Parts: sequence; structure tokens; C-alpha cells
Amino acid sequence: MLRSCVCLQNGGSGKRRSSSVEDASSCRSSEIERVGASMQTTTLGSNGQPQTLTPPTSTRASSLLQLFQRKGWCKHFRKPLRGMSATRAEKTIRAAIFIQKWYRRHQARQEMRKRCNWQIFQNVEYACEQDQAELYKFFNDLIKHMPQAIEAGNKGQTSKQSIGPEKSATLYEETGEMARIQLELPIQKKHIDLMIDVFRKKRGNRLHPKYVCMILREAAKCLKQMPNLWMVSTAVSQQVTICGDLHGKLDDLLVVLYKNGLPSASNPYVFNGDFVDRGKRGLEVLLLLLSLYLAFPNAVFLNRGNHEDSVMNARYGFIREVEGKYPRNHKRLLSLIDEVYRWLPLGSILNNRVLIVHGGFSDTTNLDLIKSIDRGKYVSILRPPLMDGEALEKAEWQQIFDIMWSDPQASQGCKPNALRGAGVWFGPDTTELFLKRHRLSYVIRSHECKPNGHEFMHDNKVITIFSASNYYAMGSNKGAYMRLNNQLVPHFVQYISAASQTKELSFKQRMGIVECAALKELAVRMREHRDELEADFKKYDPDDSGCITISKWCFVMENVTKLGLPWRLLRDKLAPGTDSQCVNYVRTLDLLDTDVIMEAEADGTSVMDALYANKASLETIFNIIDADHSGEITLDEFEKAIDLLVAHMPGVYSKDEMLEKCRMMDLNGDGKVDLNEFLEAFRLSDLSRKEQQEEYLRKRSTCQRPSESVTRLADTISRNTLVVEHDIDPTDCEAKVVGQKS
Amino acid sequence: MADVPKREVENVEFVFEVMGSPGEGIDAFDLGDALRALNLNPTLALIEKMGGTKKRNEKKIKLDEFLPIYSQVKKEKEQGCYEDFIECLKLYDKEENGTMLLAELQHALLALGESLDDEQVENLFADCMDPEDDEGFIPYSQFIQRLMSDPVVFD
Repeated sequence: MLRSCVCLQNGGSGKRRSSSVEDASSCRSSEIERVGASMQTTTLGSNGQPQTLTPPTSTRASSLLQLFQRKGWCKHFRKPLRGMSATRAEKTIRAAIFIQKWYRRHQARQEMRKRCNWQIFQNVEYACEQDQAELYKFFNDLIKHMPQAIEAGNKGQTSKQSIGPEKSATLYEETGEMARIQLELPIQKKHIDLMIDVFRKKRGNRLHPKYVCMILREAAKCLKQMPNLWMVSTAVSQQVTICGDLHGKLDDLLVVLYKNGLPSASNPYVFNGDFVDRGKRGLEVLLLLLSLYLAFPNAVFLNRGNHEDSVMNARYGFIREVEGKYPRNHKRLLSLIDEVYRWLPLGSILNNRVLIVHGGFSDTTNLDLIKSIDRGKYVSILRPPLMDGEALEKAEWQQIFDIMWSDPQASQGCKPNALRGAGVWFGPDTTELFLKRHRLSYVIRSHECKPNGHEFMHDNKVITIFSASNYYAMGSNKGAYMRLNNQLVPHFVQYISAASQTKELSFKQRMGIVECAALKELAVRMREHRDELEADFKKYDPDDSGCITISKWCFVMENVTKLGLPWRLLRDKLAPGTDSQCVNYVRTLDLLDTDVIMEAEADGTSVMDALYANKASLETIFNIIDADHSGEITLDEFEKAIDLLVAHMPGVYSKDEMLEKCRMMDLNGDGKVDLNEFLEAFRLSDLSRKEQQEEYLRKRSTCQRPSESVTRLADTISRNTLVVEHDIDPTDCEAKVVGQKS
Repeated sequence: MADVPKREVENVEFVFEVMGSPGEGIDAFDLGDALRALNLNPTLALIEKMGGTKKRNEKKIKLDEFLPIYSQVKKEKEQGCYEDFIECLKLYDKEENGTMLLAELQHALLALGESLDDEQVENLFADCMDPEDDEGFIPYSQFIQRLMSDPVVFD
């Protein structure tokens, strides 16, 4: 479409060369150039550098340019055309400048919207992670405040104990389509090819549960023999490839394997954690990675990430995924997966020079200590093992947390990571000391999504690599993998999977998809605080007019959600159709009550859902409270635990609600609660809460319909966040090689 | 301190948060984009005059240095309106029917004024332009309308 102009054949690269007059006789702009040539204008290239079109400038030209810059010159040019070609030329140049200016502003605004969406995704994600970390702290406090629990804990887990059902336990038949392939040990390349072929399909991509168990069990068995830190070397292969977070994005994993080849002695891979959660194909990613490890044991190195943890999986979707795919066997599979998690090594050291860990490190990280830990104790990093000698345990946990959860920061120093609730933020000074102390050259880590799939920090000593493209939404970011040569000099390959889906869309449409996905996530998170929001809004609206000032609106939003977002920017989306003078907060609340948002909430998992889903956590709580192992707890004891829970999870349940739950639990009225009543009570009270909400909404919807603009916005969100499933085609990717940053 | 209303200072703070690093401010290379994100529309020449650089990592601009720049650029009135554009593009409208050759517009954007590069022109047309008809003509008024109908970022 853009190459039809004849003039451009002589110089369409943006660098101007004089056009041939004969060819361009019909082209107006070249006529202007001819005139311009005689005036000897200079133009500014897109980098702002002046470029002379033709030899020597005359004073006339420079005065023309000055004319453009002078204030009010546009008024000067509203005089009617006098038919002089000079004026026409000036007009045309002026038009060009205007359009270019507007275009640059258009771009800058798009960039700002993009960053705003990014910040929404990131802040909501980290706020949810914070919740999980709070749960961990709650456990920690429980143990601290219930000293009997320490003794009780001696019946806790050690690595010698094996958790999970015995090999002889039965598998149940699953209904629905199942892949007809057969696998056996030892896993070989031919099995890998079969698995990839099966997993690629959008239907019939489930392995028989007996094969899933086989792979998980065998992998755990092999991983158990490995040290805490893999020792990786490029002595044989002369190179190595490193991948970051995959988060259930099977299409990205297949793109990497397609572009970079399957692992082998000459093509080793390190996978740096976070294989599951959020994406829909976490189980396939995990099984494929474990199978690659079993088939090429000296060429595949799997590091544990903070999402290789059942407490995280309960919240971020992996447990639901497994439940959905294997409804009759998920418990068994999940406990086998736990076995794999606890034996995944915690990181890798490459050529004794480069550390590869999922999160990062802190000023107290000690690799010797990490090498000596009994890592098998930590089935979940967020649920501490109960052992005596509490003080020692804490230091050990700290070490593991720090390498799994930390993030680099630009400023100096090392401080607790308040955003995530676990690990630290480490500065360039921390990095320098750490590298010196351990005699390392640099560190490769993952854990944070980056728009280009990778990022250098701390004077190129900390490299982030993130391999899940389209992580937040289609078109939100590229993924990347790293290749290091024998001198450990990196280059990167960036890609987007399912590229054809995004290529067909215009930039505006792509932006719309990302924006709607961001809004949806934000709205779901806001729903968790709906009652608080309503109460606070009403506080500032004594006349019950439904409107408050924009500053008050922004204040309430931040005060309740604590998400640190640019609320002014979001106002037109979250209170659609209102102006900046008077924000109709009822629309904000109505938006939260629309079907699309409520469905999205039901799809996800709240922190309480996660707590219940993680039955083992509840059992642990029960066992801690039940200090004398009677199998029952008194309501008194439970009240103490409530105090702690409420302290850590404000706004989720009030103390009164919890006490009510207590009384509900005591089904036979004898003042004591056994484990089953305990578990039932959580489930029931959550259920009744949901039912109450639905009842309330049903009543509302019959008397008040939401405004046009809210309905329209909800429709837009619904349309734009629709995902169509296809077979995976790894060749459908857009990849680019990025060289070393000097 | 420049006389910038409090609400606008909040907007500037957000832009600084997004584009800059804490304590250091923004890179002078990003001065233009920062101003544009705040609803201003300076030319490249003006940006350079106000202290923008051509390369990264040459200079940083802190918030209190930025505010007077913002104030001054805001005062520049040559924003241009819809009619101005149409008047200029009419020069290309030989048949006087509201259309012009896409190639001519493209050439102007690439060659004249503060020219754009190929990729920018492609993006611009992908976003705001109808596809050209068989003879390469496009209706320019719609193009200008779309270009100007950017939703406002900040209030």
C-alpha cells in the first residue's frame, strides 16, 4: 500500500535523495521539492538532526524555517493563496509538520496507556502474591504464639518421610477423550515426539493418568539424587540455552524447542522455574519438561521457582487445571506433583561463574548454606515444616525465600520486598558484594515479566529472562530465551507465539485487547473490596447524590485497594460516561456487578478459596491448634487463632464473622470441634457468603439497571477478552535475534 | 516554582514514575514524549530548545526542572486545528473531491518538515487511514479526524 509512489523508488529509506523530475511529473510533492530545492530548505530528520536536501543553503531558507518556529505564524498564513508556489510549498511543509507532531503525540499517548495497563497487571499480580505471603506469615505467627505447637510439630514432615499415596493405590477411569499413545520407561526421544504431537492438539490432548503418574514418579526419583544446585558446564557443548518463566504457556515452550532444537549433549538447556500457574497448559509444560529431563538427563536442568509450590498453585490456577483435566484422579496426581516440587533443585551454577536462580538473592544469601540444606523438607515454601529448633529453621527459610522471591531494584541497598510480601529488593551494591563473595561473574534470574522478554540491570550483572509471551494478555509482551557461548557471552531470541492472531489486528485493536484484559483483572480485584468501596464512597456523599469529586474518588480507590495505580488515568474507564467534575461512583460499583466481571471472579480463586482448596493447610492449622492431639479443638483455642488470622487478612473476614463460624462449626454443641467440622465450616461459611451476595444482587437487578455506558463497557470487555482455542503451531511465531548489549 | 496547578503536578508525577527513575528524574531524550503524554504538542525544534537531547544518558531532568518547561510549552499556542490541516491537504486535492494520493501524503511525511521514518508512517496509516482505492486515493478528512480523536490520557 505504501510503496506506490514512484519518487520513493529512488530513496525510500527515509534518507532523502533528490528525485528524478521526469518520473515524478504527476507527483505534487516532488514539484514542491523542486521549488524547495531552489529555496534550498533544510529539513529535520526524525532524529531531530538537520539534513540538507541539496547543496548550499541560502539565507532565504533559514528564514523560512525560523518562520515556522515563530509563534503565531499560522495566523500569518491564513491569508488566501496568491498562486505563488513558494507559499504552497510552505503550506505543505506546515501540513507535514502538523501531522508529524500529532503523530508523535499519538504515539506518546499510546505508550502511556500501554505502561498504565502494564502497571495494572503487575500491581494486581503482586498484590495477590502478597496475600499468599500473608498466609505464610499467619502460619508463622500461629506457630510462634502456640508454643505447644513446637512439640506437636515433631510429627511433622522430614525428608525421610515420603508423602503421598503408595504405588499400589488405584487409578480411576476418567471420562472424555484421551490420547491413545503409549509411553514406557525409559523415556526416549520418540516418546517426546509423541507427547508433543498429542499436547499440540486442542482436543484429545490428555495422557492416560497412568502415564502421568509414571512420569511424575520417575522424575521425582531421579531428581532426589541431585544436589541442591545443578552444576552446569559448557565444556562439551560449547554453549547453553536458558529459559525463564513459562507459566503454563505450552505454545511458547514449543516455539523455543522448534527454533532452538530439542535438548542434547551439544544443546543443553536450563529452565529457570515457574513452569505452571496462570497459563492453561501448565500440566503439559511440566510433563514435557520432566520428560525432556528423563530423556536427556545431562542436557536438561530444571530449577525450582516460587510457583512450584502447592500453596501458590491453589491460588493461581494450577490446582484447578489439574482438577479440571483429571477430575477423578487429581488428588493422587497433585500429591505426586508435590513430590517433584520438593526435590527440584534450587538453582544452577554455570561454569563456576554464573548463578542461575529464579528470583535473585539478598545481602545474607550464602550459597554454601544453600548447598547444605535438606531441601526435601520444603514441600511448600509457603507452608513451613514444623520442627523444633525454630531459630535455625527461620534462617533456612529466609535463604530459600530470598532466592525464589527477590527482585532487583535500581537504587542501592537491600530491603524487604513489600510488594510481593516475601524476599527482598536488592540493589547494585548488594549485587557487587554477592558476586565478589562467591567469585561469580553475573547472575541470571527470572520471576518478573518484561515487555521484551529480557532485561539487563546492575551494570549488566543481573539479567532477567522471561519466556512466556502474551503473559498478561494477547500482545502484552514478547518472550525470550538466552543463548550463551563458551565465553558466556549472551544473545537473546525474542518471540511472540501465535503471532498470526496478533498480526491481523491493528495497533488500536491490539491495545484494546490488552486494555480490556487489564480492566477485567483490576475489576475482579476490586470486587473483593466491593463492600468497603461502597461504604467509603457513601461516606463522602452525604446527600446520596451518587457523585463525588474526582479527588475523593481517587482517594477512596487507593485507600481501599492499595494498588498504587494512576487512578486519574483510569477514571474514564472505571466510572464510564462521567466527567471529571463529578464522578458517578455508582457506575464504578455497577461495573463490578456486571456478568463479565462476576464470571471472571468465579473463574479465579480468592485467597479464602485458596485456603480451603489447600486442605493440607487447613489441616496444618487444625493440628497446630490442637496441641494435645485430641483430634478436637476448643472454641477458646480457636478464638486465639482467629485473632491471628484477622490480623493478617484484614477485610477478608471480621472477628465477629469468624466467631460466628466457630459457633456454626460446633455442630453437636459440646463446645468442641473436630477436623471434619472444621473443614466443613470453612466451606459452608464461604458458600453462604457467596449465596448472600448473589441474593443481594438479584434484588438489586430487579429495581435498578446499570447505565448505558457501564453496559457498553462490560460488553467491550467481554468481546475483547474472548480467547479462541487452536491447535498449537510453533512455526506461527515472530522471532527476532537481539545481540549483546555492550 | 512554576505556576502549575496541583492536579497537573500529579499527572506530571505519574509520568515521571513511569518514564523516569526515582531520585534522578527522566532522561532528557524522553522530554518530548513526556510533554506529549501530558497533552502538549511541541515540535522537535521546541523540544531541543527546551533541553531535550538526541541521545540517551546524556542528561537527566528532575521534576522541579521539568515543571517550568511544561509551563512554557503549554503557553505555545500553535496547536493547529482540524480546519488548518484540511486547508493544507486541499493543496493535494486536485479533483477537489476530498481525496488525495496516499503516496503523496506518505512522501510529505517522510521527506518534509520534521520527517518520520518508514516504520512510523506505516504505523500511522495502519491506525488512522482507510485503505487506498484502486487508483491510490484516500479520503483525507477522515484521516485527520481519526488522528485528532485520540482519547485524552489525563484529565
